[in-house]
Amino acid sequence: MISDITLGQFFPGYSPLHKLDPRTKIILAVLAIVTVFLANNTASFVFLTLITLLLISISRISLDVIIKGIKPILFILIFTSLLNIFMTEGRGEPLVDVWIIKIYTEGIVRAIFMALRVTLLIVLTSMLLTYTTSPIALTDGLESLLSPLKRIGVPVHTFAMMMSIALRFIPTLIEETEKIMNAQKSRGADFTSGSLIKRARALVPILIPLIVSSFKRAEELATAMESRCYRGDKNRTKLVKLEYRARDLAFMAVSVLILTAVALLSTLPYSMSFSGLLLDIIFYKI
Amino acid sequence: MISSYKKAHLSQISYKYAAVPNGRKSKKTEKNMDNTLIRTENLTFFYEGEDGFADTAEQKGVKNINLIVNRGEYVAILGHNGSGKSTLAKLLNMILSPTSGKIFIDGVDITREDFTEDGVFDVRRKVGMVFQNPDNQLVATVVEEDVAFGPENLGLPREEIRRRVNSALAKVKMTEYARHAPHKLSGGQKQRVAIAGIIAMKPDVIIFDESTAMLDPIGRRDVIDIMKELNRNEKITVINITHYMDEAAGADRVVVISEGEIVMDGTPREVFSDVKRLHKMGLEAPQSSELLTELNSLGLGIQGEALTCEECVELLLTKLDGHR
Repeated sequence: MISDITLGQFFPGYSPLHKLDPRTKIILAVLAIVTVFLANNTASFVFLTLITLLLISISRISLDVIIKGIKPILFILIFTSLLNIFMTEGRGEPLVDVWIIKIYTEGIVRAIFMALRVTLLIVLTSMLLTYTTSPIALTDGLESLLSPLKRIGVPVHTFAMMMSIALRFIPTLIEETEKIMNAQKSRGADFTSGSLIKRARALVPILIPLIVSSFKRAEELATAMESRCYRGDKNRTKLVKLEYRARDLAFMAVSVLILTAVALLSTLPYSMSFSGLLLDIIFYKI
Repeated sequence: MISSYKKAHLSQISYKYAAVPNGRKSKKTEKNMDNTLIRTENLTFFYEGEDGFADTAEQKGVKNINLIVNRGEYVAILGHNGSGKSTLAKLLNMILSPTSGKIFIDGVDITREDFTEDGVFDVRRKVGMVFQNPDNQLVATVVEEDVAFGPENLGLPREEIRRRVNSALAKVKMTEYARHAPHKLSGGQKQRVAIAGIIAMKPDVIIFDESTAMLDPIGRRDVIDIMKELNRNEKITVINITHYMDEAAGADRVVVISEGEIVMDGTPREVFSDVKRLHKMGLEAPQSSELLTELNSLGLGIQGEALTCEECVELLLTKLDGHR
């Protein structure tokens, strides 16, 4: 049930994407976000979707996993799509005009683009970061990218360690939440019916044991880390050394090219009318 | 299995000198000084804010512990819940500092006032600890990165870390899981990873603080087998803190702690022969010893001791043969 959530989980593997330097992947993720926001017409979105599919096939992560990762944001997707469909005012004749509801072609186009944009954003960033990068590598990458900040006294290592521990305990805490929920259910607790307030209240008997046990875990983990000679980044070495290779440079170059391509595609003058034409064909001529 | 137990018992030396009364050293102790790894003198610890032994139910202190552990020993520390046995472990690893008394690790007094942070670091490198809950001691999200955590903290060069990680994983038979995520492993497997993380630091002694308490029977057996192998093949001193009598029966030496004090110290045979005394402290002897005591109390007069099931069967069969 809850443990079906794949968002933010690492799938170990040996694909070219897995082998990329985590710093490269963080930079690529930033580039990907910029690229997704640059796209604003059919041509650029089709191009970006193809690139994303290509990336998925390179990573050798199954489509099921990706789809499962999108599921939690499905509600947001539908909600924003509906808002876009009903709230957008177009220039031409409305497609549907019943009572106060007016649906324009532009609204549908915008809804599709918005949904696609959010989906691509989630898929691209989770592909690049969480699915193919071990959280430790990710935090190592962040630590290394942010290390210039150490000079002005920012505890970069501590933050990186905190983040990696948080990531490490997500599955453990999910498992525990499920266990506590089952235990409470077996005592007759009901989480699924009643008003919103009643349901929120029903969560209290889950949250309290969860918080208490998290504190206990934190203490035990701190003790275990100390007894394994942990003392911050003082004189600490790493098993995995971060190194930029030819592969990293290639990926960077390609993604800069993609960004440029998308930027160019989205400046095509007939952008909106082209998309509008497509929808006209779909909704009227059939 | 039976033969390995017997071998362990045959090679036993007497540990009569082990418990030194009130810091007075016997001649035998002095002779074995170079072989001593851990020595405590009148070690006492109270949890903060408590007077005497009014500790909380979960956390109990220790008092006047005089214990010597020699290099290469396999010691089981027995005691029921709240007997102070985990406190003792935490004191040896410098997670807790004693209220009074002294601790010597490898001849170094770790209770000295001017003990530096580097000193603490050194003690923790020598004294490895494996805890009860395997989930709460794994730091990384990939098995081999977790095993590397300790060596990384030691500041070892990369190639050395890689070598140690590989050999440690091989020793606990987890090599094929090197790239797995720990939360997908079973409890016993997680605990084996935790042990590998300690082995990779190459400690002189590994303290297992109830490391089998949360495992299923198969996981428990695996962990116990690893303890024995480490002790026999790697010459690592093993201290197993437990309340399972059957685990203690496999050790070279058993130390029983009750109410924060050492009450019995000797070979498993010596300790488990006194079933009545164990009962008084809320402990049980291994089932075979319990059975023989029961039978003898009915007047069967069976001679000898049995720590394992097989030994017990043998004794009973000889007894039955005698009757025929």
